[in-house]
Amino acid sequence: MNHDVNHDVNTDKSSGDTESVHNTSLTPARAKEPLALPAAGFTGPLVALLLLAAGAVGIRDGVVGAGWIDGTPWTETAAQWVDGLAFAGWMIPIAIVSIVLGLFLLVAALKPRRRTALEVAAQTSVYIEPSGVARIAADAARSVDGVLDARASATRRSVTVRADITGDERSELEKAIADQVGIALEPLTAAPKTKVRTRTGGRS
Amino acid sequence: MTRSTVAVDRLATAIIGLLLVAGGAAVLLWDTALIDDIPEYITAPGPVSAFESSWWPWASAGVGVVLVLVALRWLVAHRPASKIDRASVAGEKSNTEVERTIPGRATADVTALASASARALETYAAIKKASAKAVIDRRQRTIVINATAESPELLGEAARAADQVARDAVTMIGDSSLATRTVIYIEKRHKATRTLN
Repeated sequence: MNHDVNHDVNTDKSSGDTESVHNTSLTPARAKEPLALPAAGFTGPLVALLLLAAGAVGIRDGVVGAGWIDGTPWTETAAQWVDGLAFAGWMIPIAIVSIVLGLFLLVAALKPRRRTALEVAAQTSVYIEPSGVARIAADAARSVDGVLDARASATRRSVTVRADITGDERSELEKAIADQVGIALEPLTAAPKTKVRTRTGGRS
Repeated sequence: MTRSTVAVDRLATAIIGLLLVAGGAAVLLWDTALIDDIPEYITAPGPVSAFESSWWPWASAGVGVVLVLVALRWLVAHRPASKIDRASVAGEKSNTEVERTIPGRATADVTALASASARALETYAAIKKASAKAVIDRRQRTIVINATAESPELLGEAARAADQVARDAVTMIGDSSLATRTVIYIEKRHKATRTLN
């Protein structure tokens, strides 16, 4: 059953009263903005796995130390190897890799969560992802006379339309495409900046 | 994933990062004359002698068990956002039959409400399909609806439909502290062949 969206006003024709549903309906709280997982959300579990491995080694060495299984404690072997260690040339590349990896982890730890969607103008929390914006923009561009085909890519800040066009009226068509995309993206709270690139003819 | 889990992830990542940077820098400085009195050898007499102690196996196993438990707890904390099944129906303002029968003790099945909201949204002409779930998102009870618009030019209508369904949902349970978030998707449109006249 499909019905129109503009039905938030009930009209009682028998009494002539118009009762707005807004008087009785509640508006939900604003939801939190959609965000990508933080980079630390990926590195954290890796650190947890390292911790798990370290714990397993500790348990294994404890069992070996108690004499329940044969072998040499790995931690003891490691400590004996470190004890008396002097500088060697092979340490330099490892140190450089260590610094680079450490800086990467520091950035991952401090980096804020990335916003993944653009807000749509609405009374409740409604969003659309950049991929959806790109599809709307491409669709709008294709509807312009003189456009053979169009593709688009989008970020939260900008949308880039690449259109194959007929004729040589590039600047006029680019403006027409940009206008059409602007109209199509009007429902967004803040429309991304539109860039249009055209080329004459299409792909064979 | 809760805020505290994210905070622990960030802290642990930062600590490991700092240790790696510090360790790498220390090794690079080791063979230079930039810092006085750098020892020529690393010595670790404490740990080496500790292996001879009788308490070492127990300490090693004990620390190992603690590390394993902490790591498992940490990993479990990374499960997807907690789903909510039921929510209290707001008390005094409600006029529902349930509320009058059991004042202040009524609960609503929020999962069912989310599912019903998705079905309701699908009845709108601007929406092709929809699904929903009820989760706790950053400490906020939220119905998350994913809806696919019928066509790219119906974004505005889809948003208005989402508004109406969201209002209906919270009105139904009488609790405007419940948040809703609708994400509208646009399907890839098959390219139509355009004929030039």
